[in-house]
Amino acid sequence: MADWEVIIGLEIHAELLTESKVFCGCNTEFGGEPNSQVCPVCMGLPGALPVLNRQAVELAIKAGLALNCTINGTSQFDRKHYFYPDLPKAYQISQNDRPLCSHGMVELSVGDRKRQIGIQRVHLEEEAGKSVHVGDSIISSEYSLLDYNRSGIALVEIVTEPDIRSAEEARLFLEKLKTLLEYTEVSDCKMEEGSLRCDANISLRPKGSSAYGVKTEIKNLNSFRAVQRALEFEADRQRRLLQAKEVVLPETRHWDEAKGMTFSMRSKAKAADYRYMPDPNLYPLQVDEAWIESIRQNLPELPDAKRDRFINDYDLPPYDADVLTTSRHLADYFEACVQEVDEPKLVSNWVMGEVLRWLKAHELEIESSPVAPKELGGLLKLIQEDVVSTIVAKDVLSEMFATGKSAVEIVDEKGWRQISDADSLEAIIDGVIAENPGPVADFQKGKTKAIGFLVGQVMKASKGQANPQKANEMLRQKLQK
Amino acid sequence: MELSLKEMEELALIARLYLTEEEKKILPQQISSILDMVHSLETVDTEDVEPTIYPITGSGVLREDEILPSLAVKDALANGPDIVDGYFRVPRIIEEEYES
Amino acid sequence: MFSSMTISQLRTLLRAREVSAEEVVISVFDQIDKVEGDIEAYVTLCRSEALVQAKRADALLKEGNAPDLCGIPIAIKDNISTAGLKTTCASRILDDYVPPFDATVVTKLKEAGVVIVGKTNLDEFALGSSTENSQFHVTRNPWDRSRVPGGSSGGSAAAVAAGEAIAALGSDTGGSIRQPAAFCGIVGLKPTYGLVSRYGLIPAAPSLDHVGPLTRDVRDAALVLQAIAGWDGKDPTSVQKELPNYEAVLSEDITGLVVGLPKELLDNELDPEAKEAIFGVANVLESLGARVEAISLPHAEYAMASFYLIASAEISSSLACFDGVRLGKRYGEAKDTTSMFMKTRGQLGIEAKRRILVGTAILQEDNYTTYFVKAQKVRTKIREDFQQAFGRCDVILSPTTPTPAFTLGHKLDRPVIMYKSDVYTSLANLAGIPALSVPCGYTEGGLPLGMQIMGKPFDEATVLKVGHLYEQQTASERRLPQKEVKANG
Ligand SMILES: [Zn+2]
Repeated sequence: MADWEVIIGLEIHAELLTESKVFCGCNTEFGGEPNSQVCPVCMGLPGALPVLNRQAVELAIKAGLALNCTINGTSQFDRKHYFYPDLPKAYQISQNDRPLCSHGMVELSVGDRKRQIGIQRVHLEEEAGKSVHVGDSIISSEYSLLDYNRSGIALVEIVTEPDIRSAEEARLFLEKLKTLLEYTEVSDCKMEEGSLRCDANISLRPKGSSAYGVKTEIKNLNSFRAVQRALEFEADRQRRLLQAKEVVLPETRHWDEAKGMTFSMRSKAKAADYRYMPDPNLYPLQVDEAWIESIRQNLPELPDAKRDRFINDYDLPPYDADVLTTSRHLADYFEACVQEVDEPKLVSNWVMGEVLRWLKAHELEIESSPVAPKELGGLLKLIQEDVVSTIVAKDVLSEMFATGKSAVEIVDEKGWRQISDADSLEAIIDGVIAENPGPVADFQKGKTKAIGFLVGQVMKASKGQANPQKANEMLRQKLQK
Repeated sequence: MELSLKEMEELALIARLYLTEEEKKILPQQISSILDMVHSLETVDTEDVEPTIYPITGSGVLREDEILPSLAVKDALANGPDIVDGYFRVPRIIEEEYES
Repeated sequence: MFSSMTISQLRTLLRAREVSAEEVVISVFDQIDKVEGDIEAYVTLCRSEALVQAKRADALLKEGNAPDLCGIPIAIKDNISTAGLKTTCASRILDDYVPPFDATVVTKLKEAGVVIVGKTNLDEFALGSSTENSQFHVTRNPWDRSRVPGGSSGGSAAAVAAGEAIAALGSDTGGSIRQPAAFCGIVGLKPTYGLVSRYGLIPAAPSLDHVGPLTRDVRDAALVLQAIAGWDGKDPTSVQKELPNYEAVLSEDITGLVVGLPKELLDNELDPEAKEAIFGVANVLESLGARVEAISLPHAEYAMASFYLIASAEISSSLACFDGVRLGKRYGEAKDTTSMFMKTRGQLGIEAKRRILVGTAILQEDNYTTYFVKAQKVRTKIREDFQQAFGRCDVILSPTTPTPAFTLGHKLDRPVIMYKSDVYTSLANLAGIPALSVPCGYTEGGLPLGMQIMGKPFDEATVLKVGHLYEQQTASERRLPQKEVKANG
């Protein structure tokens, strides 16, 4: 039985973070009253003409540079024709033959392997409006309602080469892409608001073969998890068909999240012919070297470079560096904190552990953390100076999240300073020894494990404030006498 | 190119044009004769000639990314033939059927 | 009667306060009341608004700081968007469409102080050469009511010729300003592509569409052009350029100017009277100091095919937006959107359907290169012809049309024959160059003939100057169409 190789290519649409739409001055803000952010241009009223937004071009170039693309000095806007009520002019202004960016590459770490995923093109286009289907689904609804607020928002379409070899790789690619687009502030990549969307093409071929098999296109992928699940399902479906010597139909399939299956979307019309033509209203877009260079100069440090720097400069393990650089804000948070406490691994542990856990539980992003990096630094300094134990520090942090007070304030208010001085500790330790003759005898007989129990008793007696290391040392000294 | 009635009906569907019986009778021949005008161009040597998309050589203007006032909602909706709750309404969209 | 005067004549009288704008407007509406029943130049008349605008103009004139065209009654072709005023394109689909915005040319004319008389008839969506494709009514030629006024700006041309407006705006995709101007014995100018904003002009074929004036004489064309030309940030194909004073250049002489006579446009298919008229013009221009030279536009014979293929492709795209969702009248009952789209768009007239189907066919992937790209390459050859010709001459002279106005119903069901009459005019649209039509005589039957003066890109000044000098020189031969209207009526 043949071993199959999975071939996946992705098409991603990302809304650009411009203030106004790509060909008109309407506001792009999400969530306005229906049809309140429209004008003759984005409603496709006859006679209105498109005028290209400079910032949209700049952001598309940024995306292209972040994806290691060639930025093409001349690119062309084309009309892509199809009738759909959310498409006001019955054509979408897009780029067909001559995209703004092409021939890029993204490097992924898959386990300990490096994988290079080619980017075929990044092009600029306009968003369609939104149709609300009244009723349970598009099928059962009697009618649909159209809102054109979204119509004309700037989009980039990013098309990968068929270089992805597994559903997991597809998800990793998307995570990496999202990181890149967020780092460069090209898009906010909110899948739930639809500002990032993904369609996937998948086919199988016998391992070792160089010809491509018949592919299907998967739509309705609303999360990264959905992308991975849908592709896993579809790879499996195709594999079973091929192994049973049946054929895979070239078709578009719809992912049903609830059922965990893909379904065929049977289209009555033949394969769409979009009747592309150059848009006679828009002259070719000319982008000169100087412009590209200035955008390149102003690109922020990208995640791969930052990760390497974190490993080299802060001596962090690669795992920590990966996690901390998944978002630009997280990396910034970490670095701001290291400014306060010069012990990067300590900072990394706390940011990746307690801080992210708390934020996740409260559905907050790092940039809106109630504990600023400087404040976290204040807490970690107390640990370094033995003022609080790691255990107490966790409680202090919870209080900081809850009250917004500084670590020092909380420690003082609560009387949580760690007991490290010998006199205070001695009194507690003596009490513990007196009250636990059994374990003391065990220890003295050579059962060294008993020391753990005794330290625990010291901690208990001190309400967690004793310095456990000191207590351990002192206990040993006393019992070995 | 001799356009058949069936071919013309396909074009009419793509262009979303309802045609009357009368139009179906006369249009295929007329459209064919217009398309046939291309034959007169065959004698022109256009090897290495760039197609003209724009009548003059221009360079595209770029607009700064500034928000300009949109239409008032009532003006945006004013010409809509079927308005419900601030939306344009259309009869149900049947594009695809799902099937496992 | 004021309604038969030119802009420049009225401007003098208005500034001298010898006549009020209100009187001028009333005079125009009196004429409309007299002849509109026969001519039917208009789709919409704005009588009461016009009177309000006239009073406002009078106030400005009284203050002495009136803008250039203050108080001049002007008609607007009904495919040019007017805020708050129906803009129908003479199509049932747009029967009650009221744009929420003004076309830039309308904004500019309002700033120049004009009074808008109404919106004029046209072939539906400007597709046609006779105005018979209007879905509302036909418009008749003021010179002979059994004949067409030309098209697609037939309403604008007939209105100006019949004294129902002092001047008008038209649009020109393949001759739609110049051909009706020639048929109606008036002046029509298609400016260089990019000189006048297209924002708000409901498009037919965007790479061929232009807006321009139809006027009683060349000076008026210069005055209206001055008001509507110039860069517009809303039109991405609009050109930033220093504008000359078009009226001032009219008084310069043309000694040494080279006039090219393209042999391809003076061939045997041409009506002998039209041909004779052009040689007559050449003689007049020579007598004024110009030099006339035979030139060649070797690819002119391919203009019609190139033009119709390109235009149809673009038209199929431009007219796709009329789907009955955001605007437009729906037709009949529909259970789903596809059927709603088809029924709504089914209301289009046969010419629009013909062009949409042709355009849809040639934009198909399989046909794109052989039809569309081929036509665009031939368009390049035609542009190159002009570049070469203008290396030798300053302007090119030809007839505007191969024949005078034809009779109503004459060519309606033979589209390719109808299209042929656009050969002379569509060249300038393909090349984007300025072209002016000026009356240059009459047939034996008393129908006006027009000549076309084409110029270098953005050299409207020279084109207008030549037209004006010819007009001055032959002023005594000029007939007034209004007299014909009266004589016939
Ligand atoms: Zn808008």
